[in-house]
Parts: sequence; C-alpha cells; structure tokens
Amino acid sequence: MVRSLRLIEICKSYGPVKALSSVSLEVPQGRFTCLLGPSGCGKTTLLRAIAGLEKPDSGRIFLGSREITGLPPSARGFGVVFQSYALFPNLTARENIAYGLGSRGLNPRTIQLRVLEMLDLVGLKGEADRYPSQLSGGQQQRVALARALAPAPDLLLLDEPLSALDAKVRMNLRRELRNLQERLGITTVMVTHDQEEALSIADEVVVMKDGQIMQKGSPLEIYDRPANPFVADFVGAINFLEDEGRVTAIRPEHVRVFPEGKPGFQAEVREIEFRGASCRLVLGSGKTRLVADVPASLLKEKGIGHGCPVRIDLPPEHCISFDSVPVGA
Amino acid sequence: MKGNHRPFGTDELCQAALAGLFLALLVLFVFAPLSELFLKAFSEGDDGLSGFGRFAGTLSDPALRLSFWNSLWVSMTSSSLACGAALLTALSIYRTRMPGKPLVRGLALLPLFAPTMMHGIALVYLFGNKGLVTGLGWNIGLYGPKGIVLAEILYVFPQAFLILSAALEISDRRLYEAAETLGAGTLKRFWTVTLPGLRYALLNAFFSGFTLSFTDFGAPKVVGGNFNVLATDIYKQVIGQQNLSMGAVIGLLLLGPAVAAFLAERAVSGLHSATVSSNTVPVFPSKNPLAEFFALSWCSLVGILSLSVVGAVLVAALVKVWPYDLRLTLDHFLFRNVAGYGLESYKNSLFISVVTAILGTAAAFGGAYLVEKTKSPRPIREAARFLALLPLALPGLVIGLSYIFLFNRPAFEFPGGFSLKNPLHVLYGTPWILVAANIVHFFSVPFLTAVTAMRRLDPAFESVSATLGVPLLKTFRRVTLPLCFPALLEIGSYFFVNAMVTISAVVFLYPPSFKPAALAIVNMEDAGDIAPAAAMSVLLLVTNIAVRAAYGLLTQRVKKKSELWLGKERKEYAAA
Repeated sequence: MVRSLRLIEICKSYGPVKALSSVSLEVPQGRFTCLLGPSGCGKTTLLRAIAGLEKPDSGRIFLGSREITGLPPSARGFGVVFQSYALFPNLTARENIAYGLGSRGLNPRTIQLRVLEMLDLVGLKGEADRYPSQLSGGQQQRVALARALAPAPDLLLLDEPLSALDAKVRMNLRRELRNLQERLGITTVMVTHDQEEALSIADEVVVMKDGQIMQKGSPLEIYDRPANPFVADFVGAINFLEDEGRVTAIRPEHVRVFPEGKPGFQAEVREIEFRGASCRLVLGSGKTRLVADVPASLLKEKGIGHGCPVRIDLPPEHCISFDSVPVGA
Repeated sequence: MKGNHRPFGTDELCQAALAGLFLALLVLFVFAPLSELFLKAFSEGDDGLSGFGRFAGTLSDPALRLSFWNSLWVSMTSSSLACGAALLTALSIYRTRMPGKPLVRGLALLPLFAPTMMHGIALVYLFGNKGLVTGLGWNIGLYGPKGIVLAEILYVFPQAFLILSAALEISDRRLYEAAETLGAGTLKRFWTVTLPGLRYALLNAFFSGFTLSFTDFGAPKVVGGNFNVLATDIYKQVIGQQNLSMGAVIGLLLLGPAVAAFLAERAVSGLHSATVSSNTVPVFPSKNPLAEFFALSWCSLVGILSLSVVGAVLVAALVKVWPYDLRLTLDHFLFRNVAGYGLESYKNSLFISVVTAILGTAAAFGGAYLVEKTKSPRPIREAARFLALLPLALPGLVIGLSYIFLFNRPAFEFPGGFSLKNPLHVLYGTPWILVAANIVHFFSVPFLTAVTAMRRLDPAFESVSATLGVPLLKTFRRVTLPLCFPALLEIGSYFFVNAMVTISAVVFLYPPSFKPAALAIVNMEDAGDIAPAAAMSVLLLVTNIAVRAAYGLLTQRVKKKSELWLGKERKEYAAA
C-alpha cells in the first residue's frame, strides 16, 4: 500500500505576511525529504502544518488516501523532533522516551521493553536514568529522536534537529540519522537551512523561498541542474556571468584554470584562499570576477601564484543558462 | 515563523472553555464590582441628589478637599523619605563589603510581616503621650501628620528596599570596570553608572510607595489624631455614617492617583525591560573602609529602628499596665474582656489566610497557565491578562467598598421589569467574601510570578505533548507543575502573609460573627485596649515569620532536589 504524504495548495498567512502561498508537494513513502531554504522561507511552517501544529488557511493534506487536514496532532500519529529538543528537564531519558507511550493503553511491561529497544536503537542504554541536563547536546538529540520514534509513527518530522550541535557532532549524527532512517524505512521530512546537510542526507530536496517551492529533486539534480538562479545560488557556490542580457552560471569546481600560454579567456589571480585539499581562487578580468576551486597541488605544479596571469576555460557541458541573476547576487 | 504557536486538538475546546471560565471569574470578581462602584458614585443616593450633581458637590466639599491634599502630601513625603532610606540601605548591602548583610536584610524586611496597625502602636509606645521616648523628655508631637509619615515610612520602606535590591542585584560589573579604566573616580562612577541604572527602580519604588501610603488606613487610624486623610474619611463615611454613596465618591478619589501611579509605573517599566543581558557579570564591591564605616553606621541605625519598633510592640504586649505597672505578663495574649473576639479572630484569620493561599495559588497559577500556554482565542487571553493585572492599581479600600455594592445586591433589575438574581449574593455575610476580596486584592503579583516562571519553560513542551498524543493536563501535572514548584510556594506564602495582615479590603466585608485578627486589632485599639492589640500584632508577626521560614526551608529542599535537572537548564534559559 502506498502511503505517501500529499500536500495540496497549502496556504497560511500571519496577518499580512504570507508564510505559505499555495504549496503542493508529494513526499514519497520511505524516503528522506529535506525542506531547504533561508530563514523565513516557510519551511518550518510547512513542517508544523504537516504535524498538525499549525492550521492551514486553505489546502488539504492526505496520508495515502486518508485526508488528515482537520486532524489534531495526536490523531495523526507523527513523530516530531523540535529544534530545541524540548526534552522535559525533570524527567530522565527513560521517562522522556516513555512519555508518549503511557497514554496508549499499553501495559507497563510492554512500555519498558519498548523504551529499552529505543535506547538501544539510539545507543544510549547506559544513559537511561540520566536527566537531560546530564547529557551532552548530541545525546539529548538522540533522546528526543527516541521519544519521537517510540510510538512507532508513520512519519518522522525533524525541525532543524542538528542546528544546535557542534560541527563534528553534527556530521556524525547526520550519518547516524540517515542510517537509522534507512534501517526503519520510515518516511522522514527534515527542515534545514544548511544546504550541505540537505544534499548529504536527503533522497529528495525541496528548496523553498518566500513561502513557495523553488525546485524539488534529488540532491544531484538540484546541484547540477538548478531550475532557477535562486536555487543555483543557494545550493552550493556558483558564478554568474552576464553577457548581453544572457546569464551563464558555472560552479567554481568546474572552472578550469591553466597557466599562461594555453588557449582560453585571460585573467589574473586576485586572491587565493587555502582550503586544505583544494584552493579557492578569485580570478579577475577587467570588471568580471570569477571564483574557481582547483586542487591545491595544481598551483604548485603549474606555478600559479598571487597576481599571476592565467587562462580560463568554461566547459560548455557545465554551463547553465538563465534569464537573470538572483536578487542580491 | 517559529515559536509559540500553540497546538490545536481535540481538547482545544476544553482549553478554550477553561480560559473562558477564568475570564468569567475575573469579570465577576474584578470588573463587575468596579463597575458597581462607578454606578454608585454617579447614581442617585439616599440624599436625593442626582449622581453627577452630588459628585461635583462632594468634590467641592472643603473638608474632603483638605483630606485629599493631606493624603497627597503626606504620601509623597513618606514615599520620598522611605525611598531615600531604602536606597542607602540597599547600596550598603550591594555596593560595600559591610559585614552582617543577611541580618540587615532580614531586619529591613521585618515590617513586611506585620499589619500596618502595628507600626502605629509601636510609634504610640515610643513617641506617644506616655511613650518611652516622650518620657525621656523628647515630645515630637506624634499624633497628626508626623505620626502618619513615620508610620507610612515603616510600611513603605521594605517594599522600596525590595524593588531597589532587585535592581542593584542585576547591575553589570563590566560597566564599572569600563568606567574605572576610563579614569572615573568613585563619585563619578556613582553618578554615571549606579544612579542611571537605578533611575527606573527608584521611580517604580516611589510610585509603589506613594500608592501604598495614599491608600493605607491602618496607620492614620492609630496615629492620625485629628488629621484627616482620604483613607480614614472613607472608613468614617461607610462604617460610621453608613453613607455608602459618599464612600463611593471618596473611593473614586482614592482610585485616581493610584491608577495614575500604576500607569506611570507601567510606562516606565515597559521602557526599561531589556537591560539585563544574559552574560551580566555581578558586581563585587571593592574594599573601602570609609564606605564600609558609613554603610555599617547607617544600617545599624536602620536595624535598631526596626528592632525598636518590634521591641516596643513586644513590650506593649508583655507589660502589665504601661507605664504604671511594668511587670511582665502573658495575660494580654488571652484577650479576656477585650473588644474584638480575641483568639477567635486569630483562628478566623488563619482560616482565611490558608484558604486564600490555596485558592489564590490555584487561581493565579492556573490562570497564568491558561493565558500563557493554551491554545484559546486570543481576545479571551488578552482580556484575562488585563483583568488579572488590574488589581495592581486597586487600593484595598476600593475593592472592599465595591464588593459591598456588588455582593449586597440581591438582584439586578433591567429596564422592562426583567430581573436577574445575583449569584454572588449568597457569599455576602460569609467568610468566603473575605477570601474572594483577598484573592483579588493580592492577585496581580502572584499572577506575574507564575507568568514569569512559565515563560522560562520551552514553548515546545505543549507541542511535544500534542504530537505524542498526551493530554495537556498530564503534561501540566508531570512537567509544568514540578518545574514551577518554587514559584508555586512563593505564590502561596505571598497570599498567606498578606491575607494575615490586611485590613483595607476586608474592613467593609467581614461578617459580624467572623472577625479577622487584623480587624480585632483595630477594634481593640479603638476601645483603648492597646496592650491586647499589641499582643495580637505580635501573634500575627510571629505567624508570618514562621510561615516565611517554612517557605524558605521548603524551597531549599526543593531546590536541592531539582538541582540535578535545573543546573544546565537555567543557563539555557538565561541564554535564550
């Protein structure tokens, strides 16, 4: 049975502000979908509308063939992890995880077993009787995840679950989250403003702006074939080159740089930013400015340094054409 | 787009209904009595005068105008002096390395726990015609404005001290360090850092002090002599002459400056709400022997005065016949052959205070939860919030008076012969009207305490509860309540202590067979039984100190228990 989540023309306004203007979206079953966008784009509002925490002004929501638009959050049976985790500070990890199980008519023994299963799932068996304040940020996040998963929800909703963590912990948890999702096969929707996070974790990325969906597709599609300048600019770095009303865009890693003497556009190296494995070059030719990412070894081999004249090649297969540049780019 | 959008669900209706009930109670017990007061003040009374005419007539009555001016200047004087004294004391505690700070703090707050009558009685025993100090040859001419100002200073001082302490506690050391590195001397630092930071607290303290003394009735009753103030006028009109409509007019007069002060204070504090940043560094005063000397001298004076007030009342309560028979006795505590029912009234007060504390805490805390955390229609929540804060501007006398008007009325007649039985009439003449008046009188501060405690909780708790399918009531019981328990204790003890000592609201309302202790003091004093009056004051004071001490112990235990889960959280709240 297909139990995909379908949103049809969801609208929501706060006074004069349109948080969502007629958003339609299908979230396929068992997949990991990311809602990506800058702050204020409506991604959290959309997530809260799915959870039932926000009532849309108009539009309908279906889970499979069942309409859930008017259902309260409790009747939807979705698990939600909030940005702040919202763990109850006066309850232990165990009690937090058991919180949603008590009111389901389960007997205490079943609840205990389920809690243990969840603790095991998120790798916190030893931490069962600790209070949230005695756990690290990453551990708190896992408790919140276990609490949301304990009642075996149909859908897992994550509201920027990793944003409060240190970079390193975030990377590890990101992978764990993805593994967990694959293992359980649970349909998951995650809100994030971090494009790298979205690209690395999701099956499907939904890019949003000003309450509207700008593009929807696999990470590869979004990155390689952005549908518009906004998506191109928001997801990853990109150069926009304007020429007689036509705009060509190319990602820095696709710009090819050669020493003087080869064919191609002429430019000079204005800035070099060392990034470990690669180097980011800011190249200039007259008023045109171009960013290129090249392997760090290339600079040494070819003797390219600050102020050097270079030749640039823009491979046509990597060039994307647009009608305009994004606002503010 | 994030934040406090609340869940809607099956119990949404239930939440809205509860919030509606809370609003209905506020309308019934706060709004309705006030509107009755206004109606009464402007309506045709027994004297046959039409409403507005009599109101204008009353306002031009020279005696009343005199009382009004008397009240005005006496309150301004007492409030200014009390604020000055409180400022010196608070500075000594928070800005010097003076020894004995906890003791000074305790002594400064001591008068909070006594009925205002007690300050009057103490002054009589110290400076009255047969007083201790007068007997030593120094007659200050107590009865009249001097006595009232002195008594009101005693009354207002601890309140002002509390407000100023709170402000000094949060000032930031880095400001002082910055001033110091820029080469500012001690005096310049005081003028440029300390005082500007205190400006709002000082205004706030002055306004609160002004309202308290403008509407206080206990102290002028004892030491006012022939000096008339509005608060005693209203008492004489209503109790003495049964002139209720005149009382209503004076009530409105009392309300005017109190409301003005309330609005001014709101405006000022509204402007000033955002100076505490999360990473404020507390001030540790540096060593300065001269400052310490002056601070200690001043605080010793304050301490001695505070102790001598309590001491004088203790002497009054324990000595056989002052000043003729100085043998000690406990006879006065038996309240034999005295006006005002004696020990019976103490039991009455205990009952009222306990019930007020329980019901008041439930109402303030439950109300704050409904307003802050539930998904009920916004207009309901906003109206409830307004009515819950309104009592802050209502003097007790005005509450008492308006309660007579409303509760005494058997039915409401509407044009067209239609009439509705007054559901509140059953409370009239029972102890429950005293409980209701007390809860309303002291409602705003506990309500604010509860709101503050709840705002520190993550607004997503209710969303978690909704998505997990847990009823909100369970989350209230298992999470909100335990996390707010210290605030709950604070609220309960606040209601209790205030209900024990209050006179102003209950003076018009108590049933003849059920007299509260603070009123028994008034009656005993009226009848010349000063020693038993002092004994009763001591009894109330001791009870309140005991309750406050129990509160302190309990809070400490709760804090210890909750340290486990509060440690890190608190930092997060502060950072949020």
